[in-house]
Amino acid sequence: MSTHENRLCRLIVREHFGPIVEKVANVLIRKGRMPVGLIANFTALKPRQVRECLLVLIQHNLVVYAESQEKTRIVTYYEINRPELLHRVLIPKVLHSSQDWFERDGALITQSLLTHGKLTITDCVADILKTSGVAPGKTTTQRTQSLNKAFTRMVKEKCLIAVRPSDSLTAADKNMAEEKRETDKMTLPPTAAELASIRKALGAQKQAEQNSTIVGLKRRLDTMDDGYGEKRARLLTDGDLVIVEEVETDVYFKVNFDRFIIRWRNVQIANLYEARLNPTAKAIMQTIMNLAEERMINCKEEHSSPVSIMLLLNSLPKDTNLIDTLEFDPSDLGPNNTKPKIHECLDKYVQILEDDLMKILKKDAGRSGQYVINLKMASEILKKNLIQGIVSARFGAPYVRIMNMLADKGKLEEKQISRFSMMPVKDVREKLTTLCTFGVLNLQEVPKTKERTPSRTYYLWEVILSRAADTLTDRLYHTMGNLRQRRFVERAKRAVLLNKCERTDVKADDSLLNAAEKKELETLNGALEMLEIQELRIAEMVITLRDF
Amino acid sequence: MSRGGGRGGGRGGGRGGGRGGGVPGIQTFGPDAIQATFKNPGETYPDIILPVARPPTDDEGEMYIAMKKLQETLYSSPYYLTEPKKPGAITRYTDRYHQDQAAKRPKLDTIKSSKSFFPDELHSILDPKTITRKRQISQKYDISKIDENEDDGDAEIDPETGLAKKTGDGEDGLEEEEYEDEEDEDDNDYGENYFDNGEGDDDDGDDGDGGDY
Repeated sequence: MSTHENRLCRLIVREHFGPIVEKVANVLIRKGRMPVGLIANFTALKPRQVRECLLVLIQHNLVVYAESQEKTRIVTYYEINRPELLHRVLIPKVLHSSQDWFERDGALITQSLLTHGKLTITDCVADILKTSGVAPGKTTTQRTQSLNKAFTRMVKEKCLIAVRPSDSLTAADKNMAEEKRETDKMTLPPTAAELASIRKALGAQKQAEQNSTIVGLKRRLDTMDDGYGEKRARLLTDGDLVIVEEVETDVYFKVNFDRFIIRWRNVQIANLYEARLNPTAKAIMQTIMNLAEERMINCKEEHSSPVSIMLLLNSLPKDTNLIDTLEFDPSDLGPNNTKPKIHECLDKYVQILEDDLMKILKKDAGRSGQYVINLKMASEILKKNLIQGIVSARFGAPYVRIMNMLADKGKLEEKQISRFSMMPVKDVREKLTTLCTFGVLNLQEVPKTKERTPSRTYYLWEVILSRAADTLTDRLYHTMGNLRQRRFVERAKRAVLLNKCERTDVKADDSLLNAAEKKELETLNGALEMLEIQELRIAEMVITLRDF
Repeated sequence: MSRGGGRGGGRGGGRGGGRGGGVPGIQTFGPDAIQATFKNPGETYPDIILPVARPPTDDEGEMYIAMKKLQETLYSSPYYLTEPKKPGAITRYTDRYHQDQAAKRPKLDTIKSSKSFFPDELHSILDPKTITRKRQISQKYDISKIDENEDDGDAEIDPETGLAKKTGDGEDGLEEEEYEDEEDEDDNDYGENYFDNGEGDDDDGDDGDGGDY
């Protein structure tokens, strides 16, 4: 909600939906929820234009609405959906990850859904066939089947999520309606404790709904021809019925950015172990995260679901070399120096991972042979590493030394910091104020007397990770806004040339552009590429600080 | 102005990386950084050495190409709204080669979506044949029901969606009114007034002129 965040949101809308939608979004971002009439007043647009913009934004899940009764009329208020809007900076990475995990079909499906906001499976497949056609050697039916298969797989893995009409309503209004439904059952108005218990119960209900079956997926028995022209249920060799999961054709789906962010976080957690231990430890950790990922809903959970060591053994990649990457005590190997079995090596590896100082992997207290990931600790380590990297690149090693010391030891005074960091007090004072201005350190005043005189006050410096993350996120939004604005400026500087390139005769014949113009275009493309990639790199830092 | 031009030139030279005149650039990042302090604030506009970004990797290059393709698709989709080009005063030879993108884009009523995602007032954009009915709640007071514990004039709230339930019959039900897109015909400042100036308070059920402007 800071100025930098508002500017970034506005520029995202401008780039994707044009200047008119930007005006409407700008008003909603800066001034909050309002009806069509007020938006038209502030933007000086016609009400029909405002309605078109709101339709585009709701279609792309960027605006939610609420209907409220005012005297004799029902007025519709529109509000911006900030998290969804800020996730749009990650679109390049989402497209690339879809290609990696679901191949070309997945990338095309993601592109289609990001273009249209939300689509049913039939509309999405029809759109892809219209834009990319059918490869030679394949029929339309085959292509449709392979796209349907990819779509179903993405829904099962929750990379696509169903959108219901209630998702277009503001969350606050939905929660209030549910609370009203519960409190209406009571004869007397609820007390504060009762209201709190109702809210807790509703929250638990929502959590259970998210953990249960995937919305939009239906199951049916697989059928086959019985040779007499009729269908019968297909059976497995052991007599069990084969159940096929299909996506419902009338349910709309959108891209689930949270699932992509969870997977990227899991990869980063596994990467922590590659630097500390070895690539085999990273592979084991990655497998544990993949097994636990199915039950993850968002990145704010504290612990993962338990993973059993037997399941881990069966799920490890085939090329994981456990035996040769471990060193065993010769006395443990026995007189014949026989190499240990795979499950013994895995036990040893898991023991090493558990004993690691990061304390991310731990045994599940209730069940034996099951392990749990401490996601909160892992996220804190990722954030701390990133903040250290930023401070080190910006200021240098002595500043990082002070920051690490305060993070480990808690609140310290100037004199103590100077003694522990072996730097003179004058230097320490300068560095502390620089880091505080940057937003990484906090100052706590503890007065000795009732009058808060500076000479009789303790000044304690500390690192509060959440505040440091928020301040740095705001700085990064500022940078991203600058990069985005720079792209507009670069294009605006060459507006005449770009206008010429849009001409139909120039599009058909490249030779109408002279050498200087072609060089200018190349420079522009190079600049735009660098700016876009820099913004993507900063967006990755933002999700570490904000979403992990 | 020469002062501004000189400064711009100096800064441009500094940014380019080449240094002329032997003036060292100020390092503002990294271990040798010179931080401005109260006692040593330094020059107002020093020549600074800017950090150079590391070149893009193959993956990042692919991400840029994918994003560029999506941008082009969005630009030619019905979701990118621009004003249609007004014909200029002078007709030029190259006008025949310029396309009006706003005219070329498909219209919003061709998009594949469901009306259930949008409030009533936006349905006319999705489906121009829809006549949006303005929902109003009548405030007729029925004396015989005055003792019952009933909300007068309040619409029942649907618990699932949090919206008022639409009931089309009965005295206490919603009164519907034909509502056409009058704002396009009469484009003035009074499109949607917040306050109906007491016109909706008639007891005999007159809906007032709350929507007619």
